[in-house]
Amino acid sequence: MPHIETDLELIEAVLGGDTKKYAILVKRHQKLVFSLALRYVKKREDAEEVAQDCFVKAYKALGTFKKTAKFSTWLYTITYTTAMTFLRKQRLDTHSIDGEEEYIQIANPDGSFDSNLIERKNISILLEESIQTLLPDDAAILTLFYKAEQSLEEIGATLGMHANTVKVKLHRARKRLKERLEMVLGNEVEDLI
Amino acid sequence: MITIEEKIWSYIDGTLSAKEQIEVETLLQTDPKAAMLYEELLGLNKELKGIELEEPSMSFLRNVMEEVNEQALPTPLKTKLDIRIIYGIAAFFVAALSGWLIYGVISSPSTSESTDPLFSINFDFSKLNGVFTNVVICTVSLALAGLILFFIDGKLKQNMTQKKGS
Repeated sequence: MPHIETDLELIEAVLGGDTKKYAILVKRHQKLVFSLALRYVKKREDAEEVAQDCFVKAYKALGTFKKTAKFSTWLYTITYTTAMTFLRKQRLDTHSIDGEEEYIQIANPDGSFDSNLIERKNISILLEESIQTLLPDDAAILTLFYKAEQSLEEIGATLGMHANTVKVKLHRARKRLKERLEMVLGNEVEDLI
Repeated sequence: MITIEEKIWSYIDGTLSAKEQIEVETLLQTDPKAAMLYEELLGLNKELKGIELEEPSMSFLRNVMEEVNEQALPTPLKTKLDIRIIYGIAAFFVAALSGWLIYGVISSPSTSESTDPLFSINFDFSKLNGVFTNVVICTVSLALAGLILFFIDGKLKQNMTQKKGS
């Protein structure tokens, strides 16, 4: 059975001069970093730019990474700050509140689901679209909690919040998600879930 | 105030204390509405765990690695600190001691009677032959030359590693 190198082993190898090993780290974390970026910037091409920038930043700062921490937590923190910088820059560039308008549009309960959604009854797509309607922080918390399997403390460290705040936001996000599903599917939600 | 829904979510997440856990379990056994809600939330929890992550484009990895390869090789913070501090201190002391020694040798009196107030140690080379003086000067010069070569070697190695990385 081939030995699967841990994140720390790969980092040591990169710091030792084997830069090709960084590709393994990127491949391992790219989906989560990209998904997390997508929670904030919405457009796929922008999320890809944020994710790419995040991995380059992480590479440059790899020498400062404390090996006692989890690489993924460190990486998600970089993703979050990169996404925030991207959004700030975007707002400055456009000199408008387009981003906010876009969010309001997404959050509009009547506008974010297409007409034949109920017919499709695809819970995964429905859930994903429902998550998109949540506040970016709430959607990011759901992603980190369920897909990155991070604890409330780790999520707090990533997003610069207290663990209790994360817990409250997580509850709120799931409550809104359930309400949203009930609103779209009515009584069918019980059958689907 | 914590709602029943919040309590059930915490129960599903496993973040409740042993006492709270028993309380929720009792509630689920006695209250059919709460039990129904629990089933609902458990189903949603399962669905949330099963959500597929978004995948970036096919060229993503290549783009990242192209940009990464243009960067200098990252070095551990400890290494950076060690080189600057230790080499800096060593170079300063070696240079200061060598300068002091050379100056002392050159300006030391040829006889033991005369004294120089600059130095508390009086180099009395009159008791020693000229060979000793030559040996001291040669040793200091060799040490300095060795140190300079060591620095150049270190710099060249660093450059080679960076070129290899890029």
